[in-house]
Amino acid sequence: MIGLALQAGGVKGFSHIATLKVFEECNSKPDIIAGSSAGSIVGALYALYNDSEKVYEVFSKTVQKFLKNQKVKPEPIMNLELVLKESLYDADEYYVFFKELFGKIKFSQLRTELLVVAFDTENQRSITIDEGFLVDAVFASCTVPGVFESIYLSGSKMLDGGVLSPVPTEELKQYGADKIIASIFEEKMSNYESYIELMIAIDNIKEKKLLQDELRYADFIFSYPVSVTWKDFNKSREVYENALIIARGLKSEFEDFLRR
Amino acid sequence: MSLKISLGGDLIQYLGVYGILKALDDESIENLEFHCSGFSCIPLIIWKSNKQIAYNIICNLWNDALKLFKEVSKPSLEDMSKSILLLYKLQKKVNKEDSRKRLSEFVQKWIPSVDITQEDNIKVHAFNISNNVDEILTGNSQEILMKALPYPFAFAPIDSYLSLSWVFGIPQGDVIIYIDWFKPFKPQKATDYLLMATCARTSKIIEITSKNAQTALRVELSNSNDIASIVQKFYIVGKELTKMNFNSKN
Repeated sequence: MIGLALQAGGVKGFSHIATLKVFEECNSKPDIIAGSSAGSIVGALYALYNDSEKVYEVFSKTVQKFLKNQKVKPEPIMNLELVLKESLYDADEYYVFFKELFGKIKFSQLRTELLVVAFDTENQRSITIDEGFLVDAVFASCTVPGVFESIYLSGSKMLDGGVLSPVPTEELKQYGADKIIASIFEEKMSNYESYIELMIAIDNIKEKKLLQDELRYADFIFSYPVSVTWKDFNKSREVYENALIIARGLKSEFEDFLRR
Repeated sequence: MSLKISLGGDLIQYLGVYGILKALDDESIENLEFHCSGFSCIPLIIWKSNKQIAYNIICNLWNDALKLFKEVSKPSLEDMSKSILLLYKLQKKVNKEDSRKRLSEFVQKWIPSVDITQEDNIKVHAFNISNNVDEILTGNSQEILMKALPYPFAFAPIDSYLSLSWVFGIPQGDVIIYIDWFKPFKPQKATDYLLMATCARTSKIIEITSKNAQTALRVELSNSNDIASIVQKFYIVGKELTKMNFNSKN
């Protein structure tokens, strides 16, 4: 059983579509996909359509449509809102994005088994969602702390799955995957000028540490160097195209791996 | 090979680690290697310099520590969230000179100048933010403590070094000892969610470190303001340690 784990990372998630494209070019597909945050969006779209080009088309079209309607907040306003409000964006503001992507589709209607990982704030643990409506699960998994409003799912407030499970390989193992492929990013340490930026840089180091631990379960890794931040959604095409070059460079090695 | 005792150090309450050293000394237990991070390195260095007066020095420096390191003087996420909220409000820039000056004044005043060599049983850990690695520092105790203490709320990295405790929680070891203070709290502001997420990550990293250790001992604090009572809590943990019959993994 081939499992594919997709890392959290906003626009960087477009890289995962390159991983799926190379799967197709090798005449293969994952039997089960696990994703956190943007990884869950790509995973859910692929589980729905089983077609990487369709995933790219739907995801990028919806992102562009959403960006057009999105009011860009100046930095001082954002900083003020961070200290006054529970989040920068209310759930109602961005729920429409996920509704547009997934409508009322349920996990049971998917063509490929899917695991969506979110962070349960009550138990301080990752939670694996494999049933119900996709829109709710993926929405919960994408709740970047402080940026998007946390919503309730099964009685607890949820946050981004990437908090504790940046690339959910362990969840795949638990669901019986015996060959695990991870699709991840290589990022440079972010710069910092303020103490808050320093804290965020340190938080990214912690994420890397957790990622390294999760990669213990990975048998093959697609690793994409990226130089964008998670919210640079206007660079989605560039992210995908750069990733495709890397993924195709690994194609023969990947074919060998799949044959083993 | 010596048994590796690893110590957290994200709060000033780790000055109470003196209690562990005293408990081990009372039972004449030696041949241990101490891997410290952040504030737990202070009592180890003071003990190494002169164990007879170590307790007095720690009690005397406590009030200075409360003032200088006020953001990490209470084991409470609610209190810490207020500090973060303030940082966001002020958007305070990292000030290397000021950080160096404040830390330098503290270590010059309280920390004895001794050499920490590779052969010592004290291993001072700090995180090198330029190379992204946990390093064990050697050299003059005052200089290495300057690098081992900075935490991101209030101090810039010193020569690219930060307290390891504020990155990975605790160094690897056979026995890990830490104050478990990340109790869930009700987030209200956006900054609270950021704090909750980063603390959850630290807890998970500590959990991973604990799994690789033979045992993990948690220090439960009832009064976090009184250094004598904190030392006593660590002393109890030290006593627990003396009763254990460990075989080093190495």
